[in-house]
Amino acid sequence: MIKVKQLNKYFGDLHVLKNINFSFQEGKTTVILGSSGSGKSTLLRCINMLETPTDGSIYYRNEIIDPVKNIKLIRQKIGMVFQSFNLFSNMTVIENVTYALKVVKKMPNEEAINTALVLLKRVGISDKKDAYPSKLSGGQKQRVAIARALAMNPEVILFDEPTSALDPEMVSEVLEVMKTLTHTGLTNIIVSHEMGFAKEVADYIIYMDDGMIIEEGPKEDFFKKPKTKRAQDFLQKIL
Amino acid sequence: MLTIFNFHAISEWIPYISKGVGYTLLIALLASIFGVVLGIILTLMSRHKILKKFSYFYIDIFRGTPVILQLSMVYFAFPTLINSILRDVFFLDVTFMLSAFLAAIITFSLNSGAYISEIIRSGINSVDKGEIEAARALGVSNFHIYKDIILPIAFKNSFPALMNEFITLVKESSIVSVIGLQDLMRRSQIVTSQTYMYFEPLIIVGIIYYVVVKILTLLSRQIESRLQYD
Ligand SMILES: Nc1ncnc2c1ncn2[C@@H]1O[C@H](COP(=O)(O)OP(=O)(O)O)[C@@H](O)[C@H]1O
Ligand SMILES: [Mg+2]
Repeated sequence: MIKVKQLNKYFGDLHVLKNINFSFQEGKTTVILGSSGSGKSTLLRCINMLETPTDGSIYYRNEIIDPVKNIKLIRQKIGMVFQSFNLFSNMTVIENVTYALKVVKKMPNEEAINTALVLLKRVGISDKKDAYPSKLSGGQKQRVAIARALAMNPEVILFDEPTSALDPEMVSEVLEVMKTLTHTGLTNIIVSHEMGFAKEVADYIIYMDDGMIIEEGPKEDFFKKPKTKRAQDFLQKIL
Repeated sequence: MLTIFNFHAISEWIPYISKGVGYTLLIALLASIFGVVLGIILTLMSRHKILKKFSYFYIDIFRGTPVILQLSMVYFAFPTLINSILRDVFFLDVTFMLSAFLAAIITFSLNSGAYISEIIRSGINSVDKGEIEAARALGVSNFHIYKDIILPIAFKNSFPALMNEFITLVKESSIVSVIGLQDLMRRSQIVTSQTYMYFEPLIIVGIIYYVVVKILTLLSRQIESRLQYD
């Protein structure tokens, strides 16, 4: 589905991604683990070209993702959910969800609203449809952000620590919604520190350290006994 | 008997003085309209590699010197300069003149353009980068990101500062009296010269300014609260 080949990313002199190679499988859920600063966000952001790779290429269904030529089309296929929600603060909940449908997909207003209403119901937040983001809790904001990403009917969704900015009591409402997205044909790529959640929903695990993928494989293998010492230490620390 | 405030004597002059408020408001209004246009141009220039130098230089000069100097430059020095160029370089026997009103509009437009550009720039910078990224990640074009996200939020965030600049213009335009424009200040001086009253005309002018500024401040708060997204 998404193939990352020889990907390198520098910020100035800082080598943040070091020769990353990986294939994300269609319809599967891949959870990316690793300590803070290991390059997880940067990897995710290279996939939809929020960061331009310094070197290497990324393929979407065998088509090279190009930051100029095809990125707008590919971004419609790849949704993203951010740690800090990033809802449009000048738009109501329903406007947040319909906005890209209208300006990117040129969907008529009424159809966009109907699409949005279905999705808001799915993430359990229909009653707040006319509220502005400033009036929502973190958990509610993140559920709206998920609905906004789903509205474009993407084939892939990138989640960058979607629950890290939430109060503990709101984490589960967001994870519950995310669970409903697995095994639906959607390809999920999730950066998360929620180990219980990773154990439950992941098909594959990637473990990153210092800009490199140092361990990858089916979740069963990873959680039973990581091959590398660093991944073992990481699991020990977190569990 | 000591009369501190001779209302009887000043009352017949009040209508005359009040008419000056038209100049004051007109200068502030036109200068802020042109100032916004100029401010936008300066802000756009500041995003360009080479033009940004000019933009910074311009803003620096206009913020770094007093308005009264700028007004004197435009009204007295600039036409003289033009005239000597016309005469000595082109050998033309014509005289270039600028009316006091036009000079005031030009000066305050040029001056507020510098301040407004700073206001617009910080308004744009105040927009959360995350919201812009979220739009990009959805495939929204830069044009739409500017039109639907950056500009509305920047406008909302900079509205209080823009309104404040307008109020500053209302007050600072009082110095146009030095080039003879019959604004509130100038009219009070004329009344003084006619009646030898110093205190009364100034108090009347002070009250008018205060009321105008108060109304504008209240209006601005009203609009501000309407602009909030909540
Ligand atoms: N825009 C940027 N400019 C400079 N350095 C950055 C930028 N974004 C991330 N970095 C650096 O790159 C490294 C990896 O960051 P990141 O991908 O955010 O890690 P993670 O998401 O795993 O915590 C960190 O050292 C971080 O400081
Ligand atoms: Mg991160």
